[in-house]
Amino acid sequence: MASFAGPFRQTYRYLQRQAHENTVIFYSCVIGAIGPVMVVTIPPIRERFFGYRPAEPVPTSYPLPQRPRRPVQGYDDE
Amino acid sequence: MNSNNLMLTIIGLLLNLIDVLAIILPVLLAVAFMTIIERKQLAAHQRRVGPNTVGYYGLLQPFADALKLILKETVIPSQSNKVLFYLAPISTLVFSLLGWGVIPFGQGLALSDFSLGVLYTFALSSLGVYGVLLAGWSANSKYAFLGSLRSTAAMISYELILSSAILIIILLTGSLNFTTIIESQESVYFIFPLLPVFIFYFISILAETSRTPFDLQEAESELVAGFFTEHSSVPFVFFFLGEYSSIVLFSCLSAIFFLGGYNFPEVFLNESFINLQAIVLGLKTCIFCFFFVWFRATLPRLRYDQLISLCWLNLLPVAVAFIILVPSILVAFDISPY
Amino acid sequence: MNNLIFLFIFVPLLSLILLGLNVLLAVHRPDESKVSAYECGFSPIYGQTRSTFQIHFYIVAMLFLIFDLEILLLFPIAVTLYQVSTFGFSIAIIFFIVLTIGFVLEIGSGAIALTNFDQPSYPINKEKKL
Repeated sequence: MASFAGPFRQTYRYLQRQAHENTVIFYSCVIGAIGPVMVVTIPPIRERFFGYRPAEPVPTSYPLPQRPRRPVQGYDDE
Repeated sequence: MNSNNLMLTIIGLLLNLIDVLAIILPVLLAVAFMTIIERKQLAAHQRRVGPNTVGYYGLLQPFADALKLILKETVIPSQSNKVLFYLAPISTLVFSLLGWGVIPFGQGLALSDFSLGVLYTFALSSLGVYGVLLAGWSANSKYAFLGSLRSTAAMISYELILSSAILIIILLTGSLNFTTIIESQESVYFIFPLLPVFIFYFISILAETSRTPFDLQEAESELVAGFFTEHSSVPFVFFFLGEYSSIVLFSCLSAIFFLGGYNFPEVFLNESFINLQAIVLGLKTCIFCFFFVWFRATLPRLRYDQLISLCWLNLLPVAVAFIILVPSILVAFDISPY
Repeated sequence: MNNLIFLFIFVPLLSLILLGLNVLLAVHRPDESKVSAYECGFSPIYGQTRSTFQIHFYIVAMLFLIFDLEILLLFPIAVTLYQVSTFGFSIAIIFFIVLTIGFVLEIGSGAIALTNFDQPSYPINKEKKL
């Protein structure tokens, strides 16, 4: 990569050096950074290019009734 | 009428006893055979014969050893704290045997298949540190003390790696129940998608059971026998049993977490009384037991500072990175378990 | 009775039975050199046990407390990742990043470098020297 020139050359050299010297830390940062990037980028790509629609949410509890809550009466702990 | 109730209670208790014995006796046998497996396999690695006199192929060797150790004199050092001196080996044995309470050996074949099984196992493996700590403190000897210090620091450090590896498994299964973890591996065993996680998981269980690359508290050339230098006869047997029981337990746990437990492609699955699921789990456990001994025969011991910096500077960053990566994949592809 | 409770009673009883067997069957003849502290060769020097030890063992234990707590606090989100979905996930990531900053600080300050101090085990310190 000797021909690689430009404004990011110093940054590239720094990263190369870090990957060489602190291999574990460097690749941990890379793996860790891939995660949030995936969360941001992948859903729009899937939606636009593959026509993906999120599935219906699986019901994990009973649905709440669509009415105001009625006060409970007839118990003796009032 | 009253005597009838009493009969029912007694029968219930007997059934409980049979249940518990059906777990504990095979476990104790497995631990005994683990010791003979280790000796025979180490011998095979070094082109020796190994124990071959007692019983066929030396199969009765561990029982002879246990009997010998029970008949030995218990030496209690005069400077030790007597109560703690006995409590330490007992707690080691008890905590490592109690871990078997939640392991499912087949569909519904667990002593107690409750929903927080993984947390239960964690709690017991953390409590195992107390045996080491108490033994080193109570013996009041400098070798035991230094050994317990080293052992405690190593065990608690590697417990971090262990719990983060299992956290990743929990992320993929969405449940803390062992049966659910096994059933969610019916399509693919977790060792395939999570191979890097498996590698640092296995390193951490080697350190957690203080096996060879990490057996610094027993570095014979420095510390005699580590934290159980002063323990003899039955207290020593307890440490020995506890150590090997935790080896078999962690092998079993790795089989459950990464090799799908009692799952096996269709062949052994049937609904009849003779169900080979437990045997499948046993074979998978044997693979990991073999690995434990293989590493002992192959790898040299680390230095203590290498042990600590391997955990904190190398394994922990990787574990943290995977803890972020795996749920990100789940959220990004909308495949989180419910 | 619950099977698990029975196990909790049975296993300590088992170990007590083994201890009892030992008391019944084994000889017990202590003498002075048998019950003194183990030492390689000579008689033990008084005051060498329970002495001071290196602070790093203590530091490792304290760091373990923080990190184990952190990982255990992530267990609920591991179980409920489907329900909390992207929002809960982002909160967990923020929580995790804050703690990771602490971890980076602690590595950089050399708190867990157990080697002797003129040879730092970690390359960050090496770079400062260069």
